[in-house]
Amino acid sequence: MVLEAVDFTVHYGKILALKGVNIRVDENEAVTVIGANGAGKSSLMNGLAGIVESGGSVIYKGNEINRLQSHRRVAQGLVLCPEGRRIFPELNVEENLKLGAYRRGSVKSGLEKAFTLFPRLAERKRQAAGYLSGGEQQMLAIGRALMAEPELLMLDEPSLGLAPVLVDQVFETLQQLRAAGIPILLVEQNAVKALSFADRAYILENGRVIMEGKGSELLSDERVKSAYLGI
Amino acid sequence: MLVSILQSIAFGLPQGALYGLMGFGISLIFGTSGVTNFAQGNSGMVGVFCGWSVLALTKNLPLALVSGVAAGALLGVGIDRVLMKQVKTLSHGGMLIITLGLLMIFDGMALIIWGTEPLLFPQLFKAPPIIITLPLAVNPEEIPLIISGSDLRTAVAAIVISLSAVAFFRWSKPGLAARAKSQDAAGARAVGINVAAADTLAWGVGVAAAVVAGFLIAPKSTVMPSMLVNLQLYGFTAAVFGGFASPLGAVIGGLLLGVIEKLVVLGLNLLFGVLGVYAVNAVDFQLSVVLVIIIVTLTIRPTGLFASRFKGKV
Repeated sequence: MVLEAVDFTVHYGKILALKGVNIRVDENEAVTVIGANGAGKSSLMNGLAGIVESGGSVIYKGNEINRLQSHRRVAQGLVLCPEGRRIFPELNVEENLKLGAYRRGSVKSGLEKAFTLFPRLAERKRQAAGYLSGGEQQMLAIGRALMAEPELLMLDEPSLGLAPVLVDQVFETLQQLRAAGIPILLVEQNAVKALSFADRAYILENGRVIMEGKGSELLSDERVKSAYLGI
Repeated sequence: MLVSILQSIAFGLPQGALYGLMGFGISLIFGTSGVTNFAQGNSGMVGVFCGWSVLALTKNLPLALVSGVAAGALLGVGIDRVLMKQVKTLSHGGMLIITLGLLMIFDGMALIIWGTEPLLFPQLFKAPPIIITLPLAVNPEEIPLIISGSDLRTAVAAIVISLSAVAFFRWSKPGLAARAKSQDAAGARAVGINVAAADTLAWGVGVAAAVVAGFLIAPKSTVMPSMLVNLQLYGFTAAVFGGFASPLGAVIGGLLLGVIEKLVVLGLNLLFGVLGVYAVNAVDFQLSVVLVIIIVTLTIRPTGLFASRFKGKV
């Protein structure tokens, strides 16, 4: 087991965004969490990454990490590719990638891998990241996260705001990463894509996990179909 | 006429270098931590007083300078760690009010500890003035161009220090971390930057820069509680002018401001001469020029000359 969150809560002031969820990710596993807007998906990711305060317990590679600051979690290989890409617009593509290796990972081999995975980024490595298109920025954000050589890669809505063809591309990339043996925890609104990609899935509603199971099973579940797949 | 313009520039640049150094600290702190530090001048003043006290006790000038700058850095770190930490998640407004409070606290504290008597501080760079007489072709009246040697050296010191600090934040690893935080705090967290440490670094270096500016201006301003009040105003203008979140912009903005200020005074002098107004002195308008520049910049180009290409932070 790579990560296990037990009775995990996140609250903002008095508002409870996550009301005690249990989630786990095993070795070589791609897990997805789907849910509507406001279900608590981003709170889950930010809480696991240590960006917002959280309650309950988070065991990562055998250690309790729920009190650790975010940069210490990155140092242990728990890396988040945040929602909305969050690249550094004034810095060029290469500098953005280099910062990905700020806590851990080798700059040289990381850059090589990132440019092999995303040849577009190699072409534009001297350009300010703010000038990249949305799809390119998403590639940069994923590439930056990979620079830290993640032992668990958490992605918060990587398909957000992308054209369908680019969404396909993002999922192809994720497929490659999973084939390379990186455990993935993916949060998505694009339920069809996410469920067909993941080994296992959780469905989050109003801060609670209401269903869990294999991705393929949920994909054919009638309730999931009507609520999340629009079928 | 050419000589008068060159003379204005020769007077303006050294002052501009100090404005730039002051503006550097202000924009560094704002860019990284999001706080407009109204106590910047007075924080610098406290550091200068500390240095002055060490000088009075030990007669050791280098030691005095180092301890003054260190005191400033510590003060900056303390402000961030003790005062700002509590309100950081609440609002930028709250942090701004704290700096306004500090402005008054430091002023009162300095009054109580060191009094109101202006204290002398030695000139750090002594050098004879440089006098240049331009050739007759461009200078029919044969007016000499005078450049103060001490001012020139002070200016060079201020520019070198500002640019080294800018370079540090551009290329060093902790500097890059602070810059990344200023561009996207969530992204900075995601790559494992300790964003709290980035803020602390900016505060420490920013206030230390104000102390350096204070030491450089101290021989002229004397050491007293209000010594950096005007310089802070100039520093703010330099920062606004250069793009509030861009430290390099603030340094360049400062130099431009110093020159523009003197050129406007020169122009006013000529205008008053033509109009036959002798009751007012153009130099008295210097500070108004600064305020006009703030207003005009904020009206025409609120993001400043070297603004971020991707967002307006002001």
